[in-house]
Amino acid sequence: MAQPEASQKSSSASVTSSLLAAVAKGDQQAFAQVYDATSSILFTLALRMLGDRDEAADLLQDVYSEVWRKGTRYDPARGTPTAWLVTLTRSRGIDRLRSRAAKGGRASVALEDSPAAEQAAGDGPGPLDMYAELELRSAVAKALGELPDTQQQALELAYYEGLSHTEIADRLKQPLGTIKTRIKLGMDKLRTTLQSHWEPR
Amino acid sequence: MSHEQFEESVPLYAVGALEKAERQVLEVHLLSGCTACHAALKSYSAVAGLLPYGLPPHAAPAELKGRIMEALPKSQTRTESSAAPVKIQEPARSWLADLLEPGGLRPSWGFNPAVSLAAVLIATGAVLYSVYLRSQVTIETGQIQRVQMMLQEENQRIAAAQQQLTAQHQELSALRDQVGLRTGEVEQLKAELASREEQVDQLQTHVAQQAGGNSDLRKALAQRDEILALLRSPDVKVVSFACLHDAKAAGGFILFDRSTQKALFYAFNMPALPPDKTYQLWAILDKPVSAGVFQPDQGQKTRGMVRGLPDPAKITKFAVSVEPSGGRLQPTGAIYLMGQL
Repeated sequence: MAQPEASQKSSSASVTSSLLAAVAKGDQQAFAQVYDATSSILFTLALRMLGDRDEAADLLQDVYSEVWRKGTRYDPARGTPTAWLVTLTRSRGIDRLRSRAAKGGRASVALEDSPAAEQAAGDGPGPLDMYAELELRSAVAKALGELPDTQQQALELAYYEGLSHTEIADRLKQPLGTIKTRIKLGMDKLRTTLQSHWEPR
Repeated sequence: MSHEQFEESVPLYAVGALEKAERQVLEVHLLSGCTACHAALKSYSAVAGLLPYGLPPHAAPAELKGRIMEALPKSQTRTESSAAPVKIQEPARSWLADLLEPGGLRPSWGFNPAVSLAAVLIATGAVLYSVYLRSQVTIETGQIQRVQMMLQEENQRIAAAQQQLTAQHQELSALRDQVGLRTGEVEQLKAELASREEQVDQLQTHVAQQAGGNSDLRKALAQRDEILALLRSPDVKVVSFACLHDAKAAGGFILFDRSTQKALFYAFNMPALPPDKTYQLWAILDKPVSAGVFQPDQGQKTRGMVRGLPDPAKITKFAVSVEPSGGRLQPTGAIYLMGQL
């Protein structure tokens, strides 16, 4: 399979390990660079999970503050810096969803959909990073689009809403095995389709 | 659980769809060193990390960056240590999940029975890390206490300095008061000195006056002594004067001592003379010899000592004439009194 090299670097090119190391040492400028390169994808994720811009912003504040305090925790052997930040954001987002559920709040979210035109504005990533990210976005969107809706739905409920397969089965009134299979098939397909985007060199 | 069952659950683990119990079982399996499952987890985790890129993108609110940057704790190390105790209390699953989720376990661990030892080592490491963090907290606390002590000492030093300053101010004002007092004293002393000087002047004047008085007294005493001595002398002779002119009330006498050649002359009712005239006493031997000039006082009396009379044995008469002022060597005017021995 042909592997476009630019795409391979895309998701992490703007945030390097050394940049995170600088953040770990208290370099505010490096921190600002990390923010510029990642705030969009992290906010997108946070908004999808929480369904509320203010709460998503609060989540990002928590995450970046944790990055500032615990930048040393990042281990390059375990993945790209951006992947680490995405995992961190999802993890803290799930925490928020659970505490919200524990308080008897809404369990599901109504997602507001708005165009991404504002993305290019401001001091965001440079043009090359922008191009790489756009390519990654379109690749992921395309790969997801090729999945059956049921698989997409199961993945999203697990990943964005923190539901276990049992909870998903309950929610969708489907057998547990069916849900497990949908998740497994969906992930297998994505792993193959997006191999050039996640596979390390 | 078979290996296939574990491998089946890895994609669900990667998107967070496993139940808690299943998750823990898989984690134990991963820690046991299943390389196939490690590799699978790493790839599925990477894929899961790409999922957000499939969402319609949303830029973070413009003001969020400033908010976050502003809220950053100023010192990295301080917050690291303050966050440490919280981290210690997190359940073991959490750090293990952190370890696994982003990219799986390190490939270098490989498949090895000794990996269970690695698990122990990791656990040991975690304990050691927590101990290290606690020691860091202790060190930080010690440092904070030291800084607080230094602050306290500094405050005490400042307070002491302020007290000194206040004391010095008080001393200064006291000195000023003293100087004021001294200045007043000096003024008083000057005034006193001036009055003393005045007194001294007065005293000097007085003393001078007294001295003058004394000399007068002494003179008077001497005269009296002289007169008494003359009176007591066995060789004293008395000669009475008779008036030779119309002023018949006038008269007088002379006591003279031949041994000492002194004589006491006394005359009374002697009319005052015009300013250009004076009375002159003569001792007449074979020829007249001047014995001095005199003026009567306001009571028209004359009294005086005559010294250095010529040879008393040869004196036959005494006479008083009126002569021009200053006297003459020989009598030129009229003889006014005459006394025969």
